[in-house]
Amino acid sequence: MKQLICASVLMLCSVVSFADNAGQSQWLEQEQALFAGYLQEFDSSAKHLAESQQGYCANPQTQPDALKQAWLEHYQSWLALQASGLGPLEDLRTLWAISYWPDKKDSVGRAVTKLSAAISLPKPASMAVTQRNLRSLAVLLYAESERDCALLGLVTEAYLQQQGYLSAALAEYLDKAEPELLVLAMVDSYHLQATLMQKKLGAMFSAEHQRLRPYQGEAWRSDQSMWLLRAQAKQLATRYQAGLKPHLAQRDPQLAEKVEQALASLLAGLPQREPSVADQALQPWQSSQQQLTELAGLLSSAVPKALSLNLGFNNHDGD
Amino acid sequence: MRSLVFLSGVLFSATTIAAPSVEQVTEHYADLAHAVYTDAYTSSIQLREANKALLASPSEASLQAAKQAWLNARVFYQQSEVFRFGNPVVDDWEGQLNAWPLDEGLIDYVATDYQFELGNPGATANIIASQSLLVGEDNIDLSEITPDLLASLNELAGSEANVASGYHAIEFLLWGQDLNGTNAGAGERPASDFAKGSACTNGNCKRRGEYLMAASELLVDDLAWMSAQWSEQGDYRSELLAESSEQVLRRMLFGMGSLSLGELAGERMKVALEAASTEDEHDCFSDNTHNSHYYNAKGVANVYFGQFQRASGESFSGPSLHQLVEGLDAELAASNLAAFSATEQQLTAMVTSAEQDGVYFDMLIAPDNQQGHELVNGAISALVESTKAIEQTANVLGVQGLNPDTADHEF
Repeated sequence: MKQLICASVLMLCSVVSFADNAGQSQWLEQEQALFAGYLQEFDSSAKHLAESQQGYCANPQTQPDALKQAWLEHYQSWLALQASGLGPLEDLRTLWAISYWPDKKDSVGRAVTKLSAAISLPKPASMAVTQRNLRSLAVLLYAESERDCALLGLVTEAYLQQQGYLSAALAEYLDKAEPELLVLAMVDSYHLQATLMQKKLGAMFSAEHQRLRPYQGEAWRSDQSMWLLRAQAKQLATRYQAGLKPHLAQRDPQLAEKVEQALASLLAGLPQREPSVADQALQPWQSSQQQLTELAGLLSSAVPKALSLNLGFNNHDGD
Repeated sequence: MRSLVFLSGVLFSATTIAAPSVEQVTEHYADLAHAVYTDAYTSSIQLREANKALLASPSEASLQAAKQAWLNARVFYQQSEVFRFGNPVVDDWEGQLNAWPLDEGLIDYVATDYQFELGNPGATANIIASQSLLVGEDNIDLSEITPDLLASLNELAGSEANVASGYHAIEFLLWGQDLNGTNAGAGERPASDFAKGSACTNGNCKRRGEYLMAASELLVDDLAWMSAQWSEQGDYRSELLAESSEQVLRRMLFGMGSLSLGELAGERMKVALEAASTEDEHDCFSDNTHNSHYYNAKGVANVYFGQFQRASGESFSGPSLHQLVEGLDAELAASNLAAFSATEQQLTAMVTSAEQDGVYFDMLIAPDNQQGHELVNGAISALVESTKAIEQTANVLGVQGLNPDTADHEF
């Protein structure tokens, strides 16, 4: 039976024959299992971040290398959950709450500096979103003048409140969402991941002006913006292999292969160095941008079409 | 529910439906765009003339008149933004007119602690106070401020925050920086910033006036060009109407949905709200953001209902998407009507908050303004609902794949 499904929150519409789609349930279960793993990693690395912060602050004369590593690992665990397809507004809210990027004018840096100049520290729950995210922690970790254990403890605590809330909300959604909606959310999340990566690369590299913009990367303070982007691409490729590819291959093996190739080419071509204004070798940036455009196009158009799905509008339809 | 079926680029109805035809609707869309851009153009001429009068006789009254002309001009331009997404001729062009947020220190004097884009070499260039500007190895001659010079300085050194021209550059020149954060008050530039001789405040009044006129001229020229593109003889109009009806419908719907959701509800409202960031407020110098948002949403409804209130006060209307939907699914047409009406009500509430209660958008997003957050969130939710109506309209019209850039593209 063909049916029309329009999700009121997800803003996604689909015309799909569910009854004759035997592989779909299996695929969905696999995607849910993958997401459960991502959430577990997100939570355990958050716990490790908190422990590392406490460990460093017990002996703040040492270098915070272990804490920096814990921060990076936790940031990496967050990448898999970015643009999770939970709906445009929810995706936006979580992006701001957890990593507050894009941040062209360094609102986070200014907010943390303001916090460090405050006579008395606020309660975690009353802190602004610019003061309690992963990038606020980066200010404290990588700008030595701002490093202060009272602040580190406060910002970590405030961040973990946000992280805990998001993690629980995602887990609940994965558990309770109608399968029809979840199908759309999962397909959309592949497309949104690719679009978000396009945005991240585009922030660091202006193709029009042939110029690199290092300060627009999401982790410019730690010089790990490209490292994180490569990690995100790798994570998406791994997820595709285990998740969408087998399902898509049942419908359109050629397309399934094409997406895999697009991901492989992207991974092989992504710049290895962090962006620098002095860097004149822009070809890898240019070609990566083209590869991401192609990948996003496949995931937004050809893949839903092959799966008889119709994706709705999203946050990236706009500027 | 009946549905339309596209076959070989021609739209057929499964059953006989009342007029209009899809071709009439798409043609009226081009007429509508022409009407909106023409009014945006004429209002830009009035803005240019008001700016000229300000420079001829700088006073608080003439500055106020120029500001009012700017506010009037925004009414029409904001309604035109629905044509931006989906029509490359607009999207490729609009940055010169409406790019934001900007680093205003590129243009004129700013507060010492002003917030600008990291790594932007033009962030504190102050074109008005400078005769030249060194960017990398290029030494740019700024001695004569002309429309061409301003156009060439947009996105200087690859930074999108370098916005030298357009509505927001003019807004900054008329209002100055809004240094009130989320408290009451807009920019407070004195009229004496345009005064002659010793009455001049903050220096470089003559060049500030030259800048204002160059930006005004460029705006008029740009809008004249865009209006012509959509006229009966316009290149873009011909190109658009030569496309399949499905693709034109897709462009219409993509423009509406992208502006409603990603741009207005997301980028312009949700981002500012979540971040409590006045840097992300659209008309941040003038505190006219409530109207900008209202007229953006109105522009979306205009396309759906095929109507527009002209600057002359006349009503411009014709074959519409709504009529097409009515012919196919009366229930959906009724719910669409309700969704657009609810959106208008919610956006009107923000206008009322600003203009009757004195609580402007930048105050609504203050971290401790719970009531303000509810108001903004109400508008966002309404836009989400009307975007859903747009998606359902696409479904009933048989438009598959919403993005005109990728819908039929072979990757």
